[in-house]
This record gives sequence, structure tokens and C-alpha cells, in this order.
Amino acid sequence: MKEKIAQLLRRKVLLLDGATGTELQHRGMPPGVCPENWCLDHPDVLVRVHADYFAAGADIVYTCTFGANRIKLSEYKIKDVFSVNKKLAEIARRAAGKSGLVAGDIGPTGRFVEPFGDLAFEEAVEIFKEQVRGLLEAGVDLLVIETMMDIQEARAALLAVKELADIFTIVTLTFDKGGRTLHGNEPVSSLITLQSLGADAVGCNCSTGPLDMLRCIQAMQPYATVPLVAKPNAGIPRLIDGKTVFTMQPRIFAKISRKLICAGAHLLGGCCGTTPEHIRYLKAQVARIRPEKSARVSLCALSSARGHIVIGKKNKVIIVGEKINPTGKKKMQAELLKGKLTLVRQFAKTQEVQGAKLLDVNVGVPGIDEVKTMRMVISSLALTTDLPLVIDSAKIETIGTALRLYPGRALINSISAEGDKLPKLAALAKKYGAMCILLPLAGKQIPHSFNQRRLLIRALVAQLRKAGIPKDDIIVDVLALAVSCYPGSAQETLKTIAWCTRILKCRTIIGLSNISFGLPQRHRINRVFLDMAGRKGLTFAIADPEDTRPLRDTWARNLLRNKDRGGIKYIEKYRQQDQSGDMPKKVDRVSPRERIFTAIMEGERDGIGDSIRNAIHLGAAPEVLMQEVMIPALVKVGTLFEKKQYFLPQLIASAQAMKEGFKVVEPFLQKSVTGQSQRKVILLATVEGDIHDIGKNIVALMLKNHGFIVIDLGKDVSRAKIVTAIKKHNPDIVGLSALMTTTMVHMGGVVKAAQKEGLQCKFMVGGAVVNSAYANSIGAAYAKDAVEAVSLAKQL
Amino acid sequence: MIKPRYFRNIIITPRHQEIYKRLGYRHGVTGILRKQKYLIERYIQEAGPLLAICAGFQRLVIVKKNKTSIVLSGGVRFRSRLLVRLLRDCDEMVCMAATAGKGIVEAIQKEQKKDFVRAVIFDAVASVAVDACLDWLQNYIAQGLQRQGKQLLGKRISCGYSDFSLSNQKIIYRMLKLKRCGITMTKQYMLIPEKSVTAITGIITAKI
Repeated sequence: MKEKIAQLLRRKVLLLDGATGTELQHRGMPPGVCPENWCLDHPDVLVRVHADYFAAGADIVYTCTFGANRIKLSEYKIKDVFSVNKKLAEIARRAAGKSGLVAGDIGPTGRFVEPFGDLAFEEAVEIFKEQVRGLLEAGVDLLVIETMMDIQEARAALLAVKELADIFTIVTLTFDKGGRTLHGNEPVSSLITLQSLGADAVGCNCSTGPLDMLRCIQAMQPYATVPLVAKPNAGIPRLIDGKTVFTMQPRIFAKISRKLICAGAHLLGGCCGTTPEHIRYLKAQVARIRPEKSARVSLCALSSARGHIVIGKKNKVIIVGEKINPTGKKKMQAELLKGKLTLVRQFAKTQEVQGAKLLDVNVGVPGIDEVKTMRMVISSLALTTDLPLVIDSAKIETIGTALRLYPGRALINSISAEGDKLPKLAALAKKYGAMCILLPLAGKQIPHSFNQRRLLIRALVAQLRKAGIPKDDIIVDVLALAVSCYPGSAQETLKTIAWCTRILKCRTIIGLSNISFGLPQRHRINRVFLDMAGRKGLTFAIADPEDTRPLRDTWARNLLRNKDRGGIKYIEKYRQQDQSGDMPKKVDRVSPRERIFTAIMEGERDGIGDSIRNAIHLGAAPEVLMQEVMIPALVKVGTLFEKKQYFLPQLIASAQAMKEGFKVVEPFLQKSVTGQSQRKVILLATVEGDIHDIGKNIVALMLKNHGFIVIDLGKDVSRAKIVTAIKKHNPDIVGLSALMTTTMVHMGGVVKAAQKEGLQCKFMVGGAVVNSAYANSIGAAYAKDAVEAVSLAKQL
Repeated sequence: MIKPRYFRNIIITPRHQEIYKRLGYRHGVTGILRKQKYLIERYIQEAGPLLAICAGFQRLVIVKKNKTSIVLSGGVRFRSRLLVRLLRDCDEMVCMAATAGKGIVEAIQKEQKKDFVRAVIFDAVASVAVDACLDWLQNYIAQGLQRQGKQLLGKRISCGYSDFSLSNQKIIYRMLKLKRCGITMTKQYMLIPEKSVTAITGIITAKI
């Protein structure tokens, strides 16, 4: 049957049915009941729905088993999952007769699957298997996994099917108007993951009408190796006079849906709100259209749950971040042994920011439970990063576990001919649709020369292809060996890259940092070699993403070209620099005053202290620096903030730079000029019951920078404590903040209490819910933000 | 009454546009240097792993409505004209809550002493993430309702807004058993961790 459906798809567009749920509701099913149970009680209604769809022209109808899994049925206290599925599929079979095809329908469980939810992945697989067994027993022709909002649940369902039968399987996810599922999975990543995992057709259903779905199909089409499916709603439902109305009429629906075929869909039907009438019009529209062939036979692409990378023939070298590897990292080893993953997550994020497109993941630490740790790391990274992963382990079991759980298409690092690794790992790659790195090692001996490597690579690629792995899925590790140990090896590696690219037509990878092992200034050799390898056609480099910008360095180049035997000249040149730092310092032509001003304007707090010390050393008076450079810079920042030309991070960065600068200037300032006695004292507090104090802390920072003496009492400060502090410090101004309406009222209480005690200070208030009217009502002044608070404090 | 449902490990990617907006960025007006932008983006990235989102919701049947209050099955009553207006056509109500977790709030506190820029960016990321989480919950509930012939309102209101008193947070806290999400509540009805929020929306059962 699988081949028969595939053959049909080569000849024509296959028409799927329309909505079952809304159609059943139209025919008397009340809201709130279990649809599966209601259909078992009213089989004739269901037969009529199926028959009407066949009569309208559908080639395939879905069984009414969308919610017939253990979790959904248990909501209605139904336990016999197998029997419900079998009986409902038999009803569909009855309606289909001999010519119609029946698709066993599998919907989501409503729970979220590990690592995105609390339903264990294996439990999810088992739940779907239970349903699939019932559908298969009834003799469905194909299976359809539909309306999935989570790629991991779709994977669990697909694996359940594949582990039970070799049957044509469609998988469709539901993407919103923005082209993402509720879990943030996007169409192309989902397609890459599912088609490599063995789905026979992939696409989208529900959520949107045909026009919005068009964008998803268009996005998928260039990367599809399998037929595409579209099953849109009859537009977006609207509530009109208390009725749910799907506004798209059959004629319009069919006309727009036709575009889906032109965009690449091979199977077309309708979801919520569509009726046999919609399918009838659709039939008329698609009758004479022959489907386009799938865009390609295989695809070199990797995916995560929410991201993907497609590797073309002429990419720039793609960097695989190497840092999630405990080798030589004691802190990471200790963390992994304790089951902690803070460093793993941090390395993932920093490498992503630095430009890595994939992340290599290795958890090999002596004494560790590698399988368990790999599971934890995969789960954590699935939530942390959108970059696809490279599963790096010497153990087959670790790789198998990782591939099963990983919610995307991973790259195996690596497959070699050592022992029985190749057939076992090839089988895993095939089952989970993973790509693989081929390491040209057959025994203990490393092939040093290009010729040795060429022969071995050719033989191993042939073995992998025989095991069913397409060439597009094989990445050859061309072995970068340390030039310090193997002079001339860089040239052999470059020759191998060129041969793999031009003759073998395979993509290549290197572990970049191996090349510079044992030499000083390794980053120079790495960067020069990466540039040389890129020119020969290298596809991937496992590297520190910080170390990958091209560099021109004659000494490194000569070493790599084997023109500096033993690296004598290179070592001579760079050994000193390794000990005394790298780059020569730039000559600075900017005046110290300008530098201080710019530092505050741009929020540069690192060098401002040195600039001030330098300016004072060159004769500048500290008070002059303060009054003519630093304060004007800060005032200008305030003005830009008020005009919204600066926003909060810039304002604060400038304030921090000023604070650093002030620390340096303060000891030099003469008391007579900016004496303590002339500076206003401000008491700040977030009132009782309120714990939100970040706004108040920003105000404190700004006030200090403008020369005020700030006494900060903190957050959740009682009325009595504030009054006592006023008595003790005798401030010129008291600043109060509150975020919530319930705590704002305490501001008035503080003002009253202070007045009752005869205290003379002025009050200013602020916070998200406070406004000037409220401030007036309690006898305080109001500042909307930190800049206004400074101006107000100066005025009061 | 359906039991509350909880979600952990939801991937919420706070929209950068929203974070910038929250920090006061105005498109076409605010200018940022490349190095400043790089730093801000880095801090936004750093905030991501610190988020430990947990969310929960519960559907509740409305048994009685008048101009000023709504009574739910079980006798719980909310008094608010605004809430009554929002739930005018609804026969069910949804109580929701979300938290960004303890980690990010601790990091915000810590960073205020070290690098205030990082602190305000973390603060904005957490706020936007919690809002985005409620959006996510609403989308999730709406998708499930569609096949039941029901619709979820797009709007929601939170305690403390207009005449919907903050003290109602106590009722929502109890109903949703928010301790399960690691949330506690102060005497002034404030949620801890600070970056936590509750909200209410409604369900309309449509006729076919």
C-alpha cells in the first residue's frame, strides 16, 4: 500500500477530507462530549460524514480518532484505547468501500513531551503505539499524525508508528499566522526533522486559512524530499451573534487552495470549518493539475526544535562550537560530575553569540554516567539554544540515546571503521535520520598521506552508502594533525579537502585546533589554516568561534606550507609574545578631556579612571574636569534621554561611567569647591510592603552622580523607620517609591507622620502607579523617571 | 471544575523589540552605537538561561453575574465592573499565572551592585518573558478550545488594574495553588519571585 500511495502521488494531487469535528457538530453532536465516544454511539452519522467526503471527491478520509489516545480518552473515563481506535477505523473502512483510502488519525495528547514538558519521551511513544495498534488492526491504509504543536510530540508519534509498521505516514503540524507552532517550531526545521526521521509526507493543518498556510508551504518546498501536505481551515473562525462562523466560502477556499498546489503541496484537504462542499470545489480546482516533483532526493541540513541550517555547496566555512567538551576543563568536569549544567548553558549561549552555527556536545569525563549526562545536556540545550547539535561520543549507546531524545536532526561525531562501529552507528543514523561525520580510521594506524586517506575515505563512504546513508548526509573528517609533530600534514589535509570537494563531492570537516597543538600563539595558526582550508572548499570546522576570523601571518603560513621545517622561525617570532601579551598598543591622539567626555557619553566605565588620572597627571585641575567635562557630559546624556534619543541602558551605562570617574576625582577635589556642607542630602526608600526597588536604585545612582548625598534605606521600609531616619539624618529631601496601588497609599502615611512630628523636609515620590495628581494630594512633588528626579531634587 | 494545569520548560523567547520598547527605545528616535547594541544583545542572551518559566491555568464555570460581581462554581466571587464587562459574553473564566522564576530575580538583585546595565536588561527580559508566557498560555488554551466550538477572549486583565483590586490575587493564588510554581505571596498580595503575574480571561461557548 505504501508504494501504491507513493505511485498515486507521482500521478496526481491526492485529496484529503475536510473537517470531521465541526461537521459532526452540525449533524447533532453536542458541545463538550467525547467525539470518539459519541461516534461509537452514532456510527451512522460518522459513516455519512465519511461517505459525503468520498462523494465530494476525497481520495483519503481520516478516521475519527483525533483524540483517541490514552490521555485524552481518560478525561472521559474511557480505558479501552485499542478497541475505540479499531472500531472507529472500521467505520471509516465501511464508508471507504474498495476504492477509498483510510488514514488512521493520530492527534496530540495535550501534554508536553520531554524535554519541553513532563511527559517522558518513552511514555509518549508508548501512548501512541497503543493507538497505532488499534488503527493497524482495523486495516487502515496509511497513518496521519496531525495538528501537532510540538515537534517532540510529533517525533514520538512518528517513532511509535515506525517501530510498529512500515506504513505510509503523514505528519502535519499546526503553525500560527506568524509561521510558528505554539512551541516555536518553524516549518523548515520541522520538515528537516520529520522527513529525515522517516515521515512519508510532511505539512501543515489547522490554525489558519489557506492564504496563511501558503507561506508555510512555500517555505518548506525548496527543502522537501517528501510530498508536502496542506489542510487549512475555512479561514479564521469569528463569533457572530454567538455563533462560530468560518467565513471562507467553498468557492473562495478552493480557489486560494489551488495556490497551495502551485507552491508545492501534493496532498490537499480541509480542516476546521470545511465541509464536503469545500472538498467538492477543491476537487474541481485540482482535477487537471499534476503535482510538482519533490524539490530534491536528499538534503544536507541539520535542525534543532526551533532552528536549522541548510548546507549548500558553496557555503562559507561553518563553525561548530567546540567548547561544550570537558576535556582539559576542570570546572566543567566537576559540574558535569555533580549533574550541574550552568557552564554548558553558558558556553552554548556565548558560542551562539560569537557566531557558531552548530554546537559540538561531548560529556566524556572519567567515571561519569555518560548516557544519563548526555540526556540531561540534550534536554537542557534543547531549551537553551536554537543551534543544531553535534553528538560527540566514542560510545554507541550514548549516541543512540542522544539521537532518540534530540528534538531535531543531529550530526553524529563520528563514525569510523574501528571495531563494529560503522554498521551499528550507520543503523542509528538511518533510524533517527541523523547526518554523520566519517572519520577515516580503520585500525590504530592514522593515515598520514593524502593517498592513504583518499583510499580509506572512498572505501568507508561506499560502506556507508551501502548501509543506506545518502552522500549528502556524510561529512568527511579530513584529519587535521599537529604540524608540530607531523610537519607537512597541513598540506596533506588541504589536498584531502580539495579531493573530497571536487572529486568525491562530499562535504568536509576538521577539528581546527589540532593543527596548532604544542605551538605558541595557537590562534594565529588556527586562523591562517582555517582561511587556507576554506579556500580549498572546507565545509565545517570544529573550533572556538572566537578564533575564526581570517588572519594574514606570513610565519604561520610558511609553517603550514612546510616551508619552516620544525617551526623554528615561527616559534622564535612568537614565543616572546606569548609571554608578554599580543598586540602592540595603538597610539592615542584623542585629548584626555575628550576621552573622559566620550567615556561618559558612551557609558565606557573601564578606561575612564585611567583617562582621569592621565588628565590630572598632565595638569588638568580635578574640579575643572568635574565641572567642565564630567557634569556637562552627564547633563547631555540626561537631555538625550529626555528626548528619547538615549534609552535606559545608555543612561545607566553613562551613570556608571560617571560613578567610576567620580571615585577617581573625589579625593582630589578641594572641600571648598564641592564641600560636603553644600551638597543636598536625600533620603530614599521603597515604602512598606513593596519589594520592587530597581527604579529607586536607578534614581539613587543618578542623584549620587549629580553630587547629592544619598542615604538609601532600601525596600519594604516601614513608616516608623523612615521617620526615625529623617530625624537622624535631617535630609533636605525624602524620596519615596512604590510600584503597586496597595503600597502606594503608604507614601501618604509617611508624609503625614513626618508632618505630625514637625519634620521640615520636602518629599518627592515616583513609581509605576504614581502620578502627579496623587503626589499633589499627599503634599509631595512627582518625578516620572530618574532624570526628572535629578532636576526636581535640584529645584526643591 | 477542571483542575489547574501547570507548564514548565516552556520555551519563551521574549521578543527583542518588546524588550527594547520596555527599556524606552523609540524606533527612529533612539540611537545606539554598535558596541552598545552588541552589549545589550549579549545581556539579553545571558538572561535567557536564567529564566525558569512556570505557568499554570484553570478553567472555572461562571454561575452568576451582575453589574459589579461574578460568582464562580464553588462560590468564589470577584467584584469588579471591569471584569464583568470583560466577561460579558462568557460562561467560563480562565485564571492564569506565570513566573520568570527565582534565578533571574536573584541575578537582577546581584547585578544591581555589579553592573546596573545588566540588571535593567535582565529586569526587562524577565518582565517581557512573563507577559509572553501569558500570551503563550492564551494561545495554547485557544487552540484546544477551537475544536470544542469554544473561543477564548484575546484580552485579559490583571489584579490591581482599574477596579479589579490587587487583593483578588489572594483568591487566584489559592485556586491555582501557585506554590507549585514556586510562587509565594506577601501580606500586601505581592507575588514572590517579583517577576510573577496573574491574569483573568474568559471563554465563550459558541453555537454552531
